[in-house]
Amino acid sequence: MEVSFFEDNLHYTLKISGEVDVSSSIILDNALENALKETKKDILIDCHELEYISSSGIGVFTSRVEDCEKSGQKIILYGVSPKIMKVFSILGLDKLIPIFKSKEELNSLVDGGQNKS
Amino acid sequence: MGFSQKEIVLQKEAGKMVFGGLGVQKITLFFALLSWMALVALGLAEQSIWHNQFLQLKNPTLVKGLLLNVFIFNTYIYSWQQTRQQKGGDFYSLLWKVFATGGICTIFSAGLTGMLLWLSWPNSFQIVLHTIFFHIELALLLFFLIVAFSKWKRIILYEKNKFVWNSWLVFEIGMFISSITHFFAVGEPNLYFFTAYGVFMLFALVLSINLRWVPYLNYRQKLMSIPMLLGLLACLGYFFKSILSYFANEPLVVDDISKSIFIAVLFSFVAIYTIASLLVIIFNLPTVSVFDSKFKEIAEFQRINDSLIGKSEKEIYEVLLNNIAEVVRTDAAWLESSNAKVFICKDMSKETALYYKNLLQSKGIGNSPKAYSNNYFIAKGHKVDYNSILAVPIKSGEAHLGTVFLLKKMRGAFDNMMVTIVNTFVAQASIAIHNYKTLKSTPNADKSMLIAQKVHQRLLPTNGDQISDFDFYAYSEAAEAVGGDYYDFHQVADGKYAVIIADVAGKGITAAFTMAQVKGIFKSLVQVADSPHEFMRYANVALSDCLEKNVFVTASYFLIDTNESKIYFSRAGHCPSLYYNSRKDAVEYFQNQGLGLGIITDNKFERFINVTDFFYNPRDVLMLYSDGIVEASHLQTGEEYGYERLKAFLEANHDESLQQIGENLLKDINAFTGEGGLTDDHTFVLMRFQ
Repeated sequence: MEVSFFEDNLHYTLKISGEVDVSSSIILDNALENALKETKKDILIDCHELEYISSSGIGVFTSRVEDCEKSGQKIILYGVSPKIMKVFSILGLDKLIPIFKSKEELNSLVDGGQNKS
Repeated sequence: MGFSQKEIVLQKEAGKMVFGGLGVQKITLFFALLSWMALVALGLAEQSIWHNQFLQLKNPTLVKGLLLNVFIFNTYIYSWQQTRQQKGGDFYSLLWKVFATGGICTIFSAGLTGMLLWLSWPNSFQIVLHTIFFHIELALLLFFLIVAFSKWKRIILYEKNKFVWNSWLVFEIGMFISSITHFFAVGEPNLYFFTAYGVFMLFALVLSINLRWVPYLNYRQKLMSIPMLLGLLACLGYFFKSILSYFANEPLVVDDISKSIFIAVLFSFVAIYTIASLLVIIFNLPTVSVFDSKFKEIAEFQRINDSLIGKSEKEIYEVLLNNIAEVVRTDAAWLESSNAKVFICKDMSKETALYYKNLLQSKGIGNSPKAYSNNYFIAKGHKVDYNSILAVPIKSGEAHLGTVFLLKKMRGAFDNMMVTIVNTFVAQASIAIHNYKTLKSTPNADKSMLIAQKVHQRLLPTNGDQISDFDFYAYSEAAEAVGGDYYDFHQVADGKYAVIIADVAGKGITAAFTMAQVKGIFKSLVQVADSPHEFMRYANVALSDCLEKNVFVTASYFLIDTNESKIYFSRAGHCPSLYYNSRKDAVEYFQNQGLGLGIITDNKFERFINVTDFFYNPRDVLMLYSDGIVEASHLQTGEEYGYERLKAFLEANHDESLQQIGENLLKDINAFTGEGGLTDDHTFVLMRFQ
């Protein structure tokens, strides 16, 4: 698994590629913790190249949900493959964390949000 | 946001490749050749001007300077492109290339000069030849110098720091500026010339300190480098003399080139760096043996590592003592374990060892867990052969396993370096001993694992013989000895049963511990919770308290009322259960929503609880399962067994006995994945109602 990150004016993006299993979930957890420490922006997780995520990998996100709610930050997943989407939705996480199939879907929401404000 | 970082890097690489490819090299070489030929033509024209007092060009120096600079820059770009494609650390082949270039240029040039002296041509033709030869030699010299310059640049900038990089930048920019002087006629070298030259040389000297590459050469390469560098100096000397000779007497060739500060600096820089390299290599040679012996120590170290694997404690001590004695070259040594079971001597008898031990003990140092070093060992009233003593304890964690005693006759024999080496060796051996002890105790660990497995199996109920109101069959297997899948049932009241299936994120021991907690929670909550809603709510509170932050549990909870033929259920993130409805004769997944347990810790969780209820019909089949079933994947393609196949399976098998359904399911999965496709914990529970 590889995690890379980059930041622009609006978001802080973490890109995950490969497979997240028990051992690599620790790396992911560190990356996410770092991201939350460094930025107050919303954190986008780019899952286009995410091939597989184990329950321990999902635990990385679930463990941050409540902290983020308190700090007002959002963790947003996009580019999630249908297979992984199914795993998230069975777990009920789609009701808890915004998850988008594509960048476009995400952008339309972000733009919509900006227009409103 | 555009590209991800990786993509940007990739594009940069691609750009580099296009820019640095063969295309550039061909173009620069072509232009260099073209400008040189123009230069020769111009030189020939000039000769005729000189001798015939005939003027053709208005501003010959400007044109000549331009051509010369075009030649220089194209050659430089050509050479640098070639140089930077070379691997960073391969200095020897860089040096070899400079040497080869210099050698070939020199031989070619010397051949021409010889030809010029040897053959006597008519005088008018001699002048033409002189001009052509001069230009050939100049081109060869410049080519050689520029190649050397770019290779030296590569070497100097290897592992560069900011200072080196900046001074190099200034130097190169200075050289660039100095090449502008080619556009103008230069008179005799004057004070300005020498001032500029002096500054350049100062930079050249500073840059020449960067000789980091020399230590990377091995002994043979260093030896070979000396003649090569000497050869380079000879080439430079030859060119110096040869080029000057064209201007020595009556100038056969009219040119200001020899007075160019650019060429002078280039020449001097190449020469200075060559001399510096030569000197450093020569002074480096005597220390090579030291490096080699250090490498040998490292190799020895590797050997000790290998030889320690699978040895008994005593054997490890022996290997340790022999290796240390060899590397440190002790005169005598012994090693004793703190439990007195091992006492090994090397180059001394046990009596002598004990004699020294007594002497040490009388000084308060015996087999103590503290390191002791005495380079001037004296014991009053006792004869002492060994004047230097070093004692190093062997420790595993806090435990003191033993001590190595090293003795040397010479005074002051153990320097810091040796003490460090001995410490490292001893530390390595300690690890080996620790590993050996751990390995020896593994059978116990295996036993504990077996016990854990038995306990784990007891956490899961045996098949539901106690249930009289419906058929019940369950199967569970952990990927490792123990796992995180859990199912259970409990008779709440007459005709009322609670059934649960749960899956702890992760597998192995950690998951199994959590699973045991889940069982505790189920067994206690099932008594008090009236509804699946209440069960889930309290289970979430209880689990939130005891789970680690990134662990969660998925569960499905069923309350089956056989008096009313009614089922109430709630799903907390668990795989949707499969249901065969005999009235509809159809299999479907329950579609209700729900969030995993332990993800949200406060009472907001309640919002996510959904309870569904329905009446069941006789012969309906309810199938609960864990994700290990649907995620079992094909060993080659990685394709998962999946929800569709599972549904199709139950459609085909719902009439079988529950046990038969279970057996068929495992067969079906294995047939799909290939034997051994069930790599995760996997569990299923089957119920058939009456």
